[in-house]
Amino acid sequence: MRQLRSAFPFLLALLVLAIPAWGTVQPVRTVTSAQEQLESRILQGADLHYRGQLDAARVIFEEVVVGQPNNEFCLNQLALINAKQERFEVAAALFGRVAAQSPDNTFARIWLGVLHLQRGETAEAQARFAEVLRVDPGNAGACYFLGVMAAVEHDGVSAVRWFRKAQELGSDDPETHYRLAQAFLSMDMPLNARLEFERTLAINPRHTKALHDLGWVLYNQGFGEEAKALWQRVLSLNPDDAQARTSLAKVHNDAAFAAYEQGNREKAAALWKMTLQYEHDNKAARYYLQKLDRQAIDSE
Amino acid sequence: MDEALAVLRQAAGVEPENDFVHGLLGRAFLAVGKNRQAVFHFRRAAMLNTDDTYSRMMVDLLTQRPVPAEDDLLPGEGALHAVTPNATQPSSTDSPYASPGTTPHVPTDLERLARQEEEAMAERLGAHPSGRSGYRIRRVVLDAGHGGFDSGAVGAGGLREKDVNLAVAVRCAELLSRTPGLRVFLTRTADYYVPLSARTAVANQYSADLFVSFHCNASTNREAQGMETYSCSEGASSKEALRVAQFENSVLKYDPAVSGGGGVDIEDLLFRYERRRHWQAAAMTAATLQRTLAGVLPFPDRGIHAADFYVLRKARMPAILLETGFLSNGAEERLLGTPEQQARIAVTVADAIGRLAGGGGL
Repeated sequence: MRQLRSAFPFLLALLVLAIPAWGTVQPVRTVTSAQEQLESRILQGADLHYRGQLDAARVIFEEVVVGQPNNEFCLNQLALINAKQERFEVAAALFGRVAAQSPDNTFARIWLGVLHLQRGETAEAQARFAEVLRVDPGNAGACYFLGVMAAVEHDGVSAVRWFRKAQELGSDDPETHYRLAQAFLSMDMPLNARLEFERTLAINPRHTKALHDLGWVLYNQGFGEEAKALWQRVLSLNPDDAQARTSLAKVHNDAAFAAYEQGNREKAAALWKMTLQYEHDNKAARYYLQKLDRQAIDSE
Repeated sequence: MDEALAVLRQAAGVEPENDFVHGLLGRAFLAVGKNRQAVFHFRRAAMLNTDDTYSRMMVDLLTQRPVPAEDDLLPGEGALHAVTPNATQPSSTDSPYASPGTTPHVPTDLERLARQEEEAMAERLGAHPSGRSGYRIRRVVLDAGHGGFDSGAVGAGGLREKDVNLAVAVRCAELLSRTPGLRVFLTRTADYYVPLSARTAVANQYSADLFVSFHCNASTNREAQGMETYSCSEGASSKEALRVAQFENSVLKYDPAVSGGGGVDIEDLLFRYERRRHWQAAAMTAATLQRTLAGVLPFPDRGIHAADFYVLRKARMPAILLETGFLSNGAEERLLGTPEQQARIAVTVADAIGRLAGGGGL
């Protein structure tokens, strides 16, 4: 694919683009070396942040905002890092600073809403998200969080409406599809739920929660083997996934008990052994396997 | 610049998965002030190459505030939002669902069936609109504690907790299943052991709105008596609540599915909010059930408590645990062993849940 880069027109395009894109975002009067250094520091801070090195990123953004106390991007980044490090009061103060100085900074306002939710202040959160929609009626994020709030109340109708609205506004985030699927489940609409779980996975095939929950939808519709395959896939992505282990153990344990009740001890034993593969100390499987062993000894 | 844009767009058409081209397109659109298209291509670049910090940062920077719509978008270039404002996974247009304008989409069988399901639901909602607000209860999971080789508490007269729990839960399920619009599930329907992890798995399997676990209490103090209701909290509300939680969680030494850990991201914060709300709704449910039971049953009212019960904590919905009396108390054991008392408990709980489901929410 890199062959494109040797093509002449493409080189021309590169030459045309040899402009400091950063400078075009935040116009500066004169591009100085100090300015370049500052931009380089911000890029470095963002890089550290995205790589999860939060302490190092925080130090850089703290430095930058000393010199540029009104730099909204840096304030927002610093606030976000503080939120991730559970310094929620500091985060709220920083986002609040941005919101106070910029009437249309929707990022800060969305996060102020999220921090309200974190504190359980639902009315305040709702007001923040509504404010964002007043500033930017096309803000899919605000619709998403309003959908989350409705979903938490198990108000499926409202949740579906908000998540659908977020999608209409251009969101194709896997989390929106995933939560929409859950909202459909809460309304006893398994086919729509299945569709949305599949859409989640079309975007992010490693979405373990969607894989897991789709497994139960399929299982409840009679597709037991497909469900187990999905939970196995979760374990292949994360061998420690407790939900997938629990689900696999549960369906194997249930099947084992059914076989046991029908007098099929061989099958039951095999299924309980499989149960133990997923939950090493599953009390039911251990008990019944010991019981089967005792019965086998007695019959000899 | 126009020429550069034309060439780059042509390049993106030839190699739509080329992150380098999308990054350049992002810069080019930015340079001509077309921020919406710039965001789209920066996002694509960052999605295709997760090490492209610059593109990701530009998405974060540009989407801090509203990005005006532009009128010369190519199909897909209007898709602006990764919803969670954390610049995590940029959105994709690879999915047929991402940009329906790009290719004509023929509905799959599942899509057609889902559409029918949605139309049927819309019709139902139109016929029975729900104007009320508050937490909705449509699916209830009833959990008969213990079972099989795990008898739970055993009274001096030989009454086993697992038998009382099952009788009450099954009777309660029968009654609740008659309530229109309410679906009821049991974690066990006979005398067999169900691991704690499997009990909450049932609740999650059916996306339950409420989880009620039935238990009987026991104490070394033979005088202890009465019924009480528990909901979940991180800390125990009293020493007695801690003791009861430790007893009911005692099976956990066999249960490896207890794990924790993980960093904090936006979904973690939303999870905490959800859990707090569920615990709040559970506390309200517990208060309602306790009040109702105390008004009907001949046992002392020991009130509502909170503690960290595994079976409650792992449920993704409001969950409560009823201790319907003390098997260690001779008088209460005798009563709990009677079908009349078991039926009275079941009827009272079913009545309370039915009212919560049909009432004004939690």
